[in-house]
This record gives sequence, structure tokens and C-alpha cells, in this order.
Amino acid sequence: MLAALQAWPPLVALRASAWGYPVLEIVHIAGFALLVGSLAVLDARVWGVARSLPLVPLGRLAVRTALLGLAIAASAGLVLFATGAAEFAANPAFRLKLVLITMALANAALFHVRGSLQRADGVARIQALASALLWLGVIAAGRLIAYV
Amino acid sequence: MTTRRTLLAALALAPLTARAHHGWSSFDEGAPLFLAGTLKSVSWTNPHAEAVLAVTAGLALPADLAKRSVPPQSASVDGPAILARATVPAQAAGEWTLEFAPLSRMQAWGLAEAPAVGKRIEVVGYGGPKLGRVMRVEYLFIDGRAYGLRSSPR
Repeated sequence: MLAALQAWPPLVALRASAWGYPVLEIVHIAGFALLVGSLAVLDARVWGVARSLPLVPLGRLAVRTALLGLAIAASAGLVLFATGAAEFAANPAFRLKLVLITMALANAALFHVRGSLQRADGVARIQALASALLWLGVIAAGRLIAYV
Repeated sequence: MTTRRTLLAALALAPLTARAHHGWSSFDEGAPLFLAGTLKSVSWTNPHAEAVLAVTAGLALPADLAKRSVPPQSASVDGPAILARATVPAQAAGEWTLEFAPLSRMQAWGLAEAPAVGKRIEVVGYGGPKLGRVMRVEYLFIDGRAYGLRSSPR
């Protein structure tokens, strides 16, 4: 099924285009830079950096920006995946990356379900730290796809 | 906590447990290899062009290899030294997967189109201890022309 996906003519054309593929990579990187960068600001604030900034509105802005970044990174990423679906699915770094993304998203969902932004307590700090580590892990695993 | 520790351990171990394939650093640049044969299949796609080369038994190093001129390119590559050191790998006969450059660079060298299947080519490049019959191509020779795939032509 994955082999059939990557044999789909538009994806074959994309893989065979000299600049289409790198442009998608650029969009993917820009997306996760936005995602991880804005979350880093939120995580730092949760840990007490720049206390003069009100946490809740700052958190809303950071999360909205992160969601935009996630949408961009995931869209470009899905297309990149589809161009070589069979190879990517078999790649251990790619599999680890998917696990880490799932964990990072679950961690974020938990953060908001329990109202960690409003509570700003010790648990919120642990969640913020976990978020930073998980997203760094996602970046590391993503980069290592080409090396394993 | 335990989950995170397991996770970090998994991250640290991932590069060791997985079969090395595409990272350029896993190729042994200290031991350039020479191969010649006919193209069995070509895949002119990103992230880099690839081909399968069929090498026949009894491959020998061409007498003129060390003296061949290599074209100027943007990266500083000591072409003559690489060609002079190239050797034919043990058990060269059989199929080899050749990894070339990204398509934009192949285009820059005038290789926008894949060479035909069945075409005879020669390559100098690198293998790696864990890579099996895979070569990252440094120099490609087609119809008496040399292409330096490390970077774009200058």
C-alpha cells in the first residue's frame, strides 16, 4: 500500500523535480522552527522567565503560533513522507519520530485539559520541560532519518 | 520519569542499532574505490539520484585513471589524489547501488536526464564497512566526460 502511495504520479513527479523536494523541506523546517520556537518561549515563561509578561495571554499567543507551525510542518511532512512512504515507514529514526510526536501531542493535550496554563504549578513546569525535551527529540529523530 | 529515561536511552541508541545508510559520514573517504559496468536501473529522484550498476568479473583499474583530468567544482576536492588512490574493491563483480547527488546538482552538471539503462559508466567513490554494496559517487565518467559530484561545477 505504501509502495502504491509513492508510485502515485504526482508524488513521482515531485520526487523527480529538482527544486520541488527542497522547497518542501524548507517549508517543513520553517514550520517546526515556528512550532518549537514559540513553545520554547512558553516553556521559559512557565519556568519563571520574564515574570512581568502575563502568562495566560502569552500562552494563548504561543500556542496559536505553535499550532500554525505544526499545521505547516505536518502538511509538508506528510507530502515528504508520501514521496518515499515505504522507505520512511521502515526507517527506525522515522518510527521513533512518530512515537515522540504522539507523546508530545499527548503531553500538550494533558497540559490544556488540566488547565496547567492557569495553574502554573510544579506539574505545569514538568509538563513544559517534557514538552521541550520531546520536541527536541522529534527534531533529532527527524534529522537522523538520513543517517540510520 | 522512567518513560523519559527510556526515551532518552532509545534516542541515544538509535544511531547504533540501525543499519547505516545515507549519512555521508558513514562512507570511508580514505579509501576511494573504482567500479565500471552497465546501468541496470536508474532512479533520477530526490533526495539524490541513484542507480544500480552491474559489474562483470575481472574488473581492472584503467591504466589512465590517475592521469584523467577532473573538472573544476565549487568545493575544493583533490581530484588527482583521489583518482591516484582508487582501487578495485574485493568481490567487485555483481550489483552495486550507486548514490549520486541531489537532482539540482545533477542538473548543474548537465545530467538533468538519467543516463539510459544499459549504458556503460565508470565511477570513483566510497563504500563503508557497514554499507554493503553501496557506493557514494565522487566522480562519474560517462562517454569520456568526468563529473565531480561533491559540489556544483565552477
